[in-house]
Amino acid sequence: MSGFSKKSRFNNCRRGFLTGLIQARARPHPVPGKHEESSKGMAMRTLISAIGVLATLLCGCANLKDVRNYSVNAQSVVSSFRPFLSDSVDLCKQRFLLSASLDRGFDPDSATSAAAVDCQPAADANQAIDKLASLVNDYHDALAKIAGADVANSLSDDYDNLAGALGKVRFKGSAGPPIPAERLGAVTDLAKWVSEAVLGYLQSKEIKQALKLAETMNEYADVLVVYADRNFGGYLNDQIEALTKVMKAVRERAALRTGGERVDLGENLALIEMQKQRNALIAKREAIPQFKAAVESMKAANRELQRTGGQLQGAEQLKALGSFAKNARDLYKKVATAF
Amino acid sequence: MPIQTIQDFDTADSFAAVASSLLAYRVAHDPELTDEEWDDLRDREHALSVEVVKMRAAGVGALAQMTADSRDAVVSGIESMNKFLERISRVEKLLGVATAAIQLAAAIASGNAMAIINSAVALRNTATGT
Repeated sequence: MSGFSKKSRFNNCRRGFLTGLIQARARPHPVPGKHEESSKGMAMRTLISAIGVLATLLCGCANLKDVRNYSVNAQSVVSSFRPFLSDSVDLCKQRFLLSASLDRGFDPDSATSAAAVDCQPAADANQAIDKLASLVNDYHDALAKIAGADVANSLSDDYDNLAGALGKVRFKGSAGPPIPAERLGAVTDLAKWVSEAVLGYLQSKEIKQALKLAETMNEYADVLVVYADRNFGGYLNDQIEALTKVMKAVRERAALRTGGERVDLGENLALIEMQKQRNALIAKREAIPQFKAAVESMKAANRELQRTGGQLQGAEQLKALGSFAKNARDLYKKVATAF
Repeated sequence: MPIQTIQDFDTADSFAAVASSLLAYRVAHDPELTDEEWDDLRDREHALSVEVVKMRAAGVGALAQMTADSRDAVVSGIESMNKFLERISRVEKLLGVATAAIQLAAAIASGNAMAIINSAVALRNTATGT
């Protein structure tokens, strides 16, 4: 079996290298002649030297966990933003319906259709922001996949399968496999280590390249913040303000009635319903400053990643990532409960 | 953010505030208003609300426009990242094909007809990605 643990793949890359090396050195093939042994020994030393150079070049370059965590949290922030888009249009329609509901001969169906027509410009304008949010999501999705452990783990599994297949091969007249099991295991470990080191190097290189776009992502995130604040926030405030004013007007009108009149049940039920709606909208509004905070900490985290080429070290650098993770989580919870 | 965009959003907010005041006025003064006054107030409120939607849509459009110049670079950057992932999956496929080929060779060496057929099918499936 492999000497590599999936979870500690990158952290253990040197240990994996040494494991494979020691196994390969400790179990040499029985060879017929002394000269041949010396030649094979030299070849082995050359191989070890080459791998050693490769180790120096590649090892320590592939701690991609931070990039992965950052990307996953960024995707969560984008997914928390999505309801702002649909809610903006819904709130726009609600505002028209609130007004229409006072009309004589109010028809809910035709009023709903008319509200949809009036709010069509809002729905159309949303498409461009929706695409922008998709770009931010796709970028972080690809970044998460590149930094993902799955890439190397699946390769590691493939090597195990290959070694398993080789171990089952039997030639006629031979009792055992053509390659001794122990040697096969050692070679597989070495092959895995080299592949993972090379892959880690390539992943890091690709991530450094991808992080060049991080500043553009920050600009896009700022656009999403303005949208949340001014467009979504605008429709939210309109509806909260309209409900507040209408409720006040209803109460004032009721207070003007002479004492002998009966209580207007419909009016009171409408007040209850409007109060409920207003409270729900106020709860939604709390998601806007949380979204802003999440985006600000996302920008701080990705600037650290850009600065360090994806290799965060030390409490201060990791603090930026931790703060982003917390804000992204808080936002996610808020949106999950309020929307 | 361009000043025009800020103005679009600011003006929309002001219009919306006036529209909701007109709505509240209609509710509060319902018994005193003539039909004509009622309709006039409703139409003015509706016209203001329609303008609110248009101005905000213009603001949102201007926001999206701010990102137009960099979009091609982002799209091509994402494509390049996905190509990298495809290259990795090709290496995986190669290893999968090698494994299936070795299994077929082992089956042939064993002389087990059923195992040969199964291994050949597995090799074909791995190679074609089915």
